[in-house]
Amino acid sequence: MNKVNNRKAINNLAYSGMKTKKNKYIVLVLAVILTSLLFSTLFSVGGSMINEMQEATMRQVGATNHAGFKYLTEEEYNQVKNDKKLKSVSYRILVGFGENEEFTKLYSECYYSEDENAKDSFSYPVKGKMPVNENEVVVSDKLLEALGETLDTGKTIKLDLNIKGETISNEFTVSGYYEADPICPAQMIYVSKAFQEKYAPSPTVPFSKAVAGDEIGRYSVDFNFGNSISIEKKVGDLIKRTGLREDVDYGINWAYGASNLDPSVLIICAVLVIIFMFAGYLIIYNIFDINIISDIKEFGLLKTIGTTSKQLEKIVIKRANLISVMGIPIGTGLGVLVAAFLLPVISGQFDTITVGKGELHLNIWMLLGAALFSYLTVIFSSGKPCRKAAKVSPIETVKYTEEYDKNGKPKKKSAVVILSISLGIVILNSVFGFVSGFSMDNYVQDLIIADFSVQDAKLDAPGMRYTDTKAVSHELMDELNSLDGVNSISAVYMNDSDQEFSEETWAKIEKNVLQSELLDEKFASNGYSEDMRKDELDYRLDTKTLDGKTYGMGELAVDKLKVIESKDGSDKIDWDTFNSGNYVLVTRFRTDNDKVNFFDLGEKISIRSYDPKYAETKTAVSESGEEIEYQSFDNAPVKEYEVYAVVEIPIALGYRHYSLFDCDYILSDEEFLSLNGNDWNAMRVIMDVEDSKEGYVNDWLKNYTKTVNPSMDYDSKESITDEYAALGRMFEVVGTVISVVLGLIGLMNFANTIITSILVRSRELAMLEAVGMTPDQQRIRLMKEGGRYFVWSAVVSLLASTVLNLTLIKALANEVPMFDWNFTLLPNLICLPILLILVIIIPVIAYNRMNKVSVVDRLRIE
Amino acid sequence: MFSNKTIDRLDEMLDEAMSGKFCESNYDESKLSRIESRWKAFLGTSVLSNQNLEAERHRLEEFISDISHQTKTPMTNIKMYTELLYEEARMLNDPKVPEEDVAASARKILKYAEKIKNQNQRLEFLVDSLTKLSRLENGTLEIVAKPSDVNELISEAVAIAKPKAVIKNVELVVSESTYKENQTASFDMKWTQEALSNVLDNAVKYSPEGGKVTVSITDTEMYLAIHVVDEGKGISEEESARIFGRFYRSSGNQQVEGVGIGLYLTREILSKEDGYIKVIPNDKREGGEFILYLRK
Amino acid sequence: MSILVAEHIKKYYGEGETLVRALDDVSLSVERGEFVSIIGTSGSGKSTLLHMLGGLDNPTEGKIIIDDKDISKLKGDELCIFRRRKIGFIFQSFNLVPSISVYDNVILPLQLDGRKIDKEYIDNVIENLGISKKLNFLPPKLSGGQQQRVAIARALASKPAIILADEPTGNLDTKTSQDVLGLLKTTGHKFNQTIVMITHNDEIAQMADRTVRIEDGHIV
Repeated sequence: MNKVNNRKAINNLAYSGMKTKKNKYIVLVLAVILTSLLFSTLFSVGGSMINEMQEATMRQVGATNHAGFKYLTEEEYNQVKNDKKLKSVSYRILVGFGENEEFTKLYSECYYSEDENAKDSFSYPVKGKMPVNENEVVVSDKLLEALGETLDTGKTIKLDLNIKGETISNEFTVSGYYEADPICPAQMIYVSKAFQEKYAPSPTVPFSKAVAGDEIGRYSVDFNFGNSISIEKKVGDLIKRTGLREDVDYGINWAYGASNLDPSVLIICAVLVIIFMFAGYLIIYNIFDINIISDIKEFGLLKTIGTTSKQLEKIVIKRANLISVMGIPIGTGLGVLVAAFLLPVISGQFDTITVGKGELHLNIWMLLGAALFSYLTVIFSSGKPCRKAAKVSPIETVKYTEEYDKNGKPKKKSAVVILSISLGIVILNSVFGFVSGFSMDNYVQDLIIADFSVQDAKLDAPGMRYTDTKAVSHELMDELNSLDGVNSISAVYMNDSDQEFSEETWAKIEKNVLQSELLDEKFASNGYSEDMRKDELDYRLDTKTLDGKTYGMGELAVDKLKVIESKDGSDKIDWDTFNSGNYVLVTRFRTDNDKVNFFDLGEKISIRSYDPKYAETKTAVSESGEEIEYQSFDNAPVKEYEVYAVVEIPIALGYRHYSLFDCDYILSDEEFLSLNGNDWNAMRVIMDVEDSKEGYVNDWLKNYTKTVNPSMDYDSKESITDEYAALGRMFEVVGTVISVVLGLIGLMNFANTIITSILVRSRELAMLEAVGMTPDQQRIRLMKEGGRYFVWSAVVSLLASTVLNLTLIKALANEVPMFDWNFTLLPNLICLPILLILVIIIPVIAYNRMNKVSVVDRLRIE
Repeated sequence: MFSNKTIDRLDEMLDEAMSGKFCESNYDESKLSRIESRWKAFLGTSVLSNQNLEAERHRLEEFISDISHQTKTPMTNIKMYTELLYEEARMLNDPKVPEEDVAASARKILKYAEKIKNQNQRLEFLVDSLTKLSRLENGTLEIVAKPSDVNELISEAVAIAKPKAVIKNVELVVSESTYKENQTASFDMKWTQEALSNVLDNAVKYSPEGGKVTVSITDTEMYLAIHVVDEGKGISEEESARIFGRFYRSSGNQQVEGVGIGLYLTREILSKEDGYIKVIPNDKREGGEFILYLRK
Repeated sequence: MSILVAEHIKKYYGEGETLVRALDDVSLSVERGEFVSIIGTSGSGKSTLLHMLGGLDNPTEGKIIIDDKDISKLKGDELCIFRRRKIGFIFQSFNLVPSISVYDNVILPLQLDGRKIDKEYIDNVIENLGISKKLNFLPPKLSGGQQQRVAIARALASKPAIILADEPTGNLDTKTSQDVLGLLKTTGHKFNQTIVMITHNDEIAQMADRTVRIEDGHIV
């Protein structure tokens, strides 16, 4: 339909109306600034963090590429490299592993690598160039330091390389070095193509897992797709397209997955967004609403002279738009500044992030997103006032004596005011309650559970494949035990062999575990392909075994276990009973979301002895016809134990390598040794020390691990606590910022409400003055009125805060591991007195301002 | 291009207009609806101008009937006195008339001649007024309002009214503060003098013997107001709306001479100058008060 | 020919014992170009009548025909647009939009309707009301009388079918009132506008060609 064009009039009305009521709209713009500041801070911090985490993950993975194939032959590489859908393809060839004595605490791999590949793996030389001649080498700065060399090229170093099980020692000239990323677990040694061809020539037959050391000389091919969406599917397509063998090993860079984001972080972010939107909504809505009430005369007037509801709505929307245009860019800009200030504090906590720590990663989409959210908030909040404006009855204006605040529903109005004031405080109280519940102990508990933990240096390092799980000798234990101040000490022994089951038990496991949906979930989360799943299942059904570890633990360690259910119903293991030699503790089959018991309490299970004295050397024939020797314990004795309790093993206590089922057993330390032989060394030792002796023990361990036995390392509760104290600081800073902003919003809301309610009623007040109410009496009356708001707001916020704290916050704090719930009304107690002061001051100020105009003038139309 | 529906509606609108039945179908923001409203407004104003033409004709008819009505009395009177004059003259011619009657007859003749002269004067005044009025109403004589001197206006008008006041022993006073320097308003000097002197004449006419007529000026942002206050019995509220009608004469004032055309003329003159005249009814104040508002 | 016909208008508020008959069977007819004043004391129902005539409120019963259109059944936005095109309002409290200039106020009804501005006509109106020097001012900077003159100009601007004036001098002193009434009368006459004015003041009512008295919801 052909519409008449009245945009000009509407624009004029919308914008000039704002000009004349500048103060009111400045408050509104401030509110929008505050809201968009919140969003932009949240988005900038969040976005930068995700960016940092992704970057950090890439570095940890050691590559920026989307995915890669492992163990290819040259022919297979050629099949892949010309695929049209791949953006960049580069390769490196595994030559061996660095084995110098100096590298005990460093895991190093030796490759020939294309320049491109080295660049994508964060290991391209910062000084010098990639090796060309056979005797040239590029190593990481860490390796150079470990060799005691200064950081420079041209040096000659001796490297012991393990190639296919043989150690080859050679002198190399350092043609370049790169700066190792502290979070990347592997150090690179790059040799020339010539060296690789000579010592680790590429095989022409396809890779076989069965052949020991068959990885050597194989191509690792990394590549990028056009984009990072559903990489796994693209890899599958690529394999089909290029005709690679179906069982080719491939890896997907999980930096590109969403899975690297902790769901709890997502929840917190979502909650924050909702809180901010709601807080923004509240303040903007309230101010808009109040503005419309005070503009109602204008709207009614416009309606009498023929402005339609739709046009009035347009006017309000146009004003909202203009406010957004002015407020959102400023707020977003300020938010970026606040984010720049907050980021170092926040990202300082994430140990994984080491490069570009605390740097602002500004992304236009992020800022647009923040602006969009702010805008949506403004539009949402203006919706209802907008409809109110549209509904204004034209008669309102022609009535000369009218009071807007007494439209017959004063109670509803007060309720909105009280609610909006209280909500600010309640939200503040809840955020504070949650944030202040951050508990260091809770968080650190997972990382270390005793004062000290001593183990092989590489045991807990991420990504280490071959670690010594028998590093703590009985002698060392005795020595530690004899240290001054050691109160209790407990060894943790570990044997990593598949668990075997009786027919009866197996039938149950097959039903409960192997056929359950949990297993599918587990497969999926561990990245098993269909074939791998089938292989794994066939193997388990064939052998009737599950992977799992058998631990032996002393009393101190057993004490730290989390008991799920136990025979005697207690949540502590009775050490004497458990130590009798007839009992075993077991774990459950767990996925991220659910768990199921492997065994029932009281069930009998058999554990095989792996005492070396029972070992028999046997040979097996591989598929390729090769003979392989292995140690068999088939004839070792088996002892039967009764399941005493189902437990969970804290991360800090166990072996941090997880497999598919993790069907773990725990015996007492004595029983473990009696089953597996007394020569078995402990994986780690934990000990509790008298507080006053902690420093002494720490010094002793420091010296021991540095000079006496560098292959050992230790953790102390103190060092970890220090490391994570900063995390607490982050919560404090972030919590404070949020609280201050929310508090500001609440106070602004309150002040605005009071001021407007006075201004809107200036006529009523003038009338009262005209009939003889003195200004002082009026001030007192206004204060009393504010006081009523205050009392109600106080009651509502105290009640609501209490209820929320006891329900939602409690539930949330209990759900998120590093938080402890505790009851607090502190923000209420801080805010309410401030409100009370405002209640007294604001009416007086507003009234005085209004009072400058004479009574007569105020009695006339405003 | 227009949709068929629009064309159809426009067609319909024309049909309805021709049969004089057009009315808007509805009111909304569409251009068609606006056209309907403006079409209606246009038809309204053309009806109004037809109406005006009609009114003009009607006024002319009324005017003719007014003239015949108003001239009837003096004409009849003249006719009557002329008859009487004849009779007396015939009597004088008769030689049988006694001497003493001749003297009486001569006095009568003189009286009748006087009467005829009076009626003739009245007729003359009437025709003069009506001519002015007709020229004014037909627009053949244009009133041109332009900034003019108010002092001159008042002094001239007062001078015109003065002789009658003197005859009637009525004091005609211009209050002290009336004449101020550079006192101008927008009016036509000649016609407005006519208007003001009409009001003054009127005031003198309705004043009791020995009464006083006061002229004064008040001033507002938009208008300059000339007040004419007399000590007569004033105009009642009911009358106040009617006195500006043509040939209106106060019910209680039949014996006072005048033709009741002056106030109407005055109102018309002022209205043509964007001014207006107002009377204060006698329930508000004693005596009569007329106020002439001249647009500044 | 009547521009406005009100037939048996009734407006009742409340019900039962609290029933208030604000208007009880009021009939009224106004000719084109007429200046009619409706006089009544406060509470006589004159304001209610004016609201009905102006389409600000619907009658409980009866018909209001303005420019041949029965408006008593119009609702919401339709009534709004009707007012914009057909009614010029002049209020006691001026009710100008304080935030836009005098000129914008005058042409607002036209702009709302998206109409072209007849500059010659508007200039003429403005000239006649003596506000040509104030066009760029904001209304609050003007005196009461000046504001009301702007309101008259606004009412005249859209050449409405009828101008409704609600106690137009209620907030003005005597002298200024006289100015405003004089201008209302003379410009109304000059631009052939039909004017209905309500007032409680006899003297003011006299300015009109015809007065209608209303008492207790009845025309007397």
